[in-house]
Amino acid sequence: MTATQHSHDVHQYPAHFEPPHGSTWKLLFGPGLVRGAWMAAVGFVLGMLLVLVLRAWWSWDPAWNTEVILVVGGMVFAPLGFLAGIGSFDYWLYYISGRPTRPEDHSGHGAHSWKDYFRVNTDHKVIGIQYLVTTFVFFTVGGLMAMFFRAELAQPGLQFVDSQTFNGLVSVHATLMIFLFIIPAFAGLANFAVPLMLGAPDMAFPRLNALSFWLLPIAGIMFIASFLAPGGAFGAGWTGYAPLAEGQPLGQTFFNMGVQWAGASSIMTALNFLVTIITMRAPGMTFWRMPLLVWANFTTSLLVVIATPFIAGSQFFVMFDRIMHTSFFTPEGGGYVLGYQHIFWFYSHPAVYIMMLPGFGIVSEVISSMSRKPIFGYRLMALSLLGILVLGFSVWAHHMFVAGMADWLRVPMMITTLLIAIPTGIKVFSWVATLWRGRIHLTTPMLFALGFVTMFVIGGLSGIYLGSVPIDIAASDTYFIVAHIHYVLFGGSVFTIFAGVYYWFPKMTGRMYDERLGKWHFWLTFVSFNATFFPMHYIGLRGMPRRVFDYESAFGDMNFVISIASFVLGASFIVFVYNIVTSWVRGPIADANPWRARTLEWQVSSPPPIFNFDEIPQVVGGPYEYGVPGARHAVMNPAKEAQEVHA
Amino acid sequence: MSAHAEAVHEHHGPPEANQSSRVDARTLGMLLFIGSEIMLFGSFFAAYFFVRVVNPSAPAEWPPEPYHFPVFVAGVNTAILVTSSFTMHWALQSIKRGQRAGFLAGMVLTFVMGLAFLLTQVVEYLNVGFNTGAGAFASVFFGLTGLHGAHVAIGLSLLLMVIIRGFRGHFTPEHHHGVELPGIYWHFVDVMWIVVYATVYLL
Repeated sequence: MTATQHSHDVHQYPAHFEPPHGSTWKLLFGPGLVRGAWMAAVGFVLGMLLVLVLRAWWSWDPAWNTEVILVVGGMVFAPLGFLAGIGSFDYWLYYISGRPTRPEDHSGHGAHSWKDYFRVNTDHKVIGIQYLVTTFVFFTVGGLMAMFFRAELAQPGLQFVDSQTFNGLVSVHATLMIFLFIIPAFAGLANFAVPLMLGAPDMAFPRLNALSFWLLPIAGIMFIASFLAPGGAFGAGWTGYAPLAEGQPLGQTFFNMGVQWAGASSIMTALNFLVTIITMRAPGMTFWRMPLLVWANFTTSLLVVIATPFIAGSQFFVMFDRIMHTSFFTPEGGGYVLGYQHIFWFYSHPAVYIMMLPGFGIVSEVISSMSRKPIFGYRLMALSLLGILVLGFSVWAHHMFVAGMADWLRVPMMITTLLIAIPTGIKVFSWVATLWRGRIHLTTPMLFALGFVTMFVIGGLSGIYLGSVPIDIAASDTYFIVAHIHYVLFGGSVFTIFAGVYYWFPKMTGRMYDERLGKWHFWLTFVSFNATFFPMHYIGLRGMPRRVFDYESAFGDMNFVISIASFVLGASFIVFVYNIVTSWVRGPIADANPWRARTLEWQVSSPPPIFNFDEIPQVVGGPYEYGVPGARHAVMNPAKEAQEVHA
Repeated sequence: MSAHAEAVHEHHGPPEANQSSRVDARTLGMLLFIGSEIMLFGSFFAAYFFVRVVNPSAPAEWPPEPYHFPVFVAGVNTAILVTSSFTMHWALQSIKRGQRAGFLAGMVLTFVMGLAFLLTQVVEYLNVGFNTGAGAFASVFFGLTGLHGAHVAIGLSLLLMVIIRGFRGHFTPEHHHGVELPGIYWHFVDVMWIVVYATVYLL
């Protein structure tokens, strides 16, 4: 073993690594984006031939069916070719073919230059940053779409787009924000932080972790590419209700399949988190000593593993109805239309907790360390997460109060929905109680955390209104719903993502962001967010329906104000991007622990060493004992092994 | 390459992670994956439940006249698949005791029976007398059996992997994780078939 030992910070291939064949050969046939591109093309051709051969063999007429070829060639085989090309499967293929696996030389671990972020990388810290950068790219695209349709909605009548394009913009906006921003951005933050917080050298399955990241751009590109499909992008909303979705143009298939890739990605990540949290905690790190971010991701991952297969199923059924002429949801063939909504919401209601619980974890970390106090009611904070997990599975039909489902289902669903206010209320109460008499530092992450708590309370209260059957019947499908979802998902989730990015930015990059610009970003976002979405409550209750491209002229003034505010909201994001990019390139060097936080990720250097710890730390106490005399979270062992290696 | 050698090799890189649970990480991963798979089947069973039970216009007779499901052929197929679970268990027990011949024979038998099951199902599809467009009963029939068939195909490729590596002598009584995990998956596929068979053909 000593012969192949190499220093951690020098990038060199060990002796047994395959010698490079020459640069062109390596570019074309070595794992990477170039091989990914041509193997995706090969995959598409293979899938297309498979469809043509089978259809010709069974003498189906015509042998060429664009939608089937698109699904099989373009959305199954081409992405698989891409994944094989960038090298996601290399190690496993060695194993499967029965050859001795190449010993893991860690050449695919860690980033030594920016190029290492564009290849399959097994380091959870690199993957976390890959996730975050990718999701913010899709956030920008989705946000630009919102700007576009807000411009359209600034006055009544049709100005810039036709109705199908408008529906497409709204649908792709929502789909990108949910599947390509909020869910994976949380996965990215957790990917970076959770193994460090646990005292683990990496995730349990690093190669699976890399694969689950690379599934994500595939899904995102599929959603955006639907605009190129004949007939335009999918326009049935992010909910894709059947049978509406079954009559949509070709673009709907992009949604059906994109959701499968995004779903597979989040299931794999969740599985990885669960195994990591259960089997790789540092000695002494009992469940009751885990930071709340870890708890939050533990519960979220359980939700993902249990619920996500249901959206996969619902989209498979719609796709089968479209291309295989089945009748899962078509009444003519004996299908049951409401079945779609039941199956879809059985995933998508737990999904709102998938989009919220990791944020709860981030905010708990930030509020505790920024007010220099132990988190109030630590155990109840963890248990309330589990309470939300259990209750979250019993409330899905509150999305269907006006859908014509069985009447007796309404009141039980209303009761369970309102019950969720209890664990959520416990959390809000505990955050406020943590702030009580704390020594509060109003840094940018703290501002976003406090902004989250206030906005989430507003969103939660309108959620209680909407959970009650009579109010929901009146407010259903109005802008009140749009206001509610943006208060919980933007004022809620997105604020926590910003809080998390600012909080861990010095740890991720080793540099400090600009505090002044950060505060500008917060206040601009906070004010314009409220100016955009608060009036929506009002116009919603006045009766303006959502998902419309034209509306009553009486709502014109209000919509104009909303559109202007939304442009300011969009512009406030530029401040964030400028701050992050310039600070990453030439910000001041950050301390290892600028927030003087207790959790383990702050006890290593910024950015952390390539394998996180020289030796696994010994955990001796809770993670939030701020201000408690003599309390310690962990004992870091001296870097014995590192000295041996470097000697 | 054996798990043990891997662990030794990795030691010069990252520090050895603390094993904080008695459960092996790979086994736990497989069990969680199977949990997720059960939920995927659950969504298909939910669709079945909706079109047959909840739907007010569901036909009284299932499947509606003049169609019928090949209950007997599928029953024989069930027997084949259940038997393959036992041969899988035999193979695993054999490698645990170091009996290489029994291990290889068990694996090959399991694979052949799985393949026979899959081919029988293909023949059944071709002769069943209706296609996917014949109505909701056909949707859930092809949906559930097709989803299960896809899982048999995945299971078979895992078994093939074990066989290739088995003939190359990669498994020993100490290191047979690569047999155990595909085995767990194969048992899951079998048990799931019993549920699918009971629901689709018998009920």
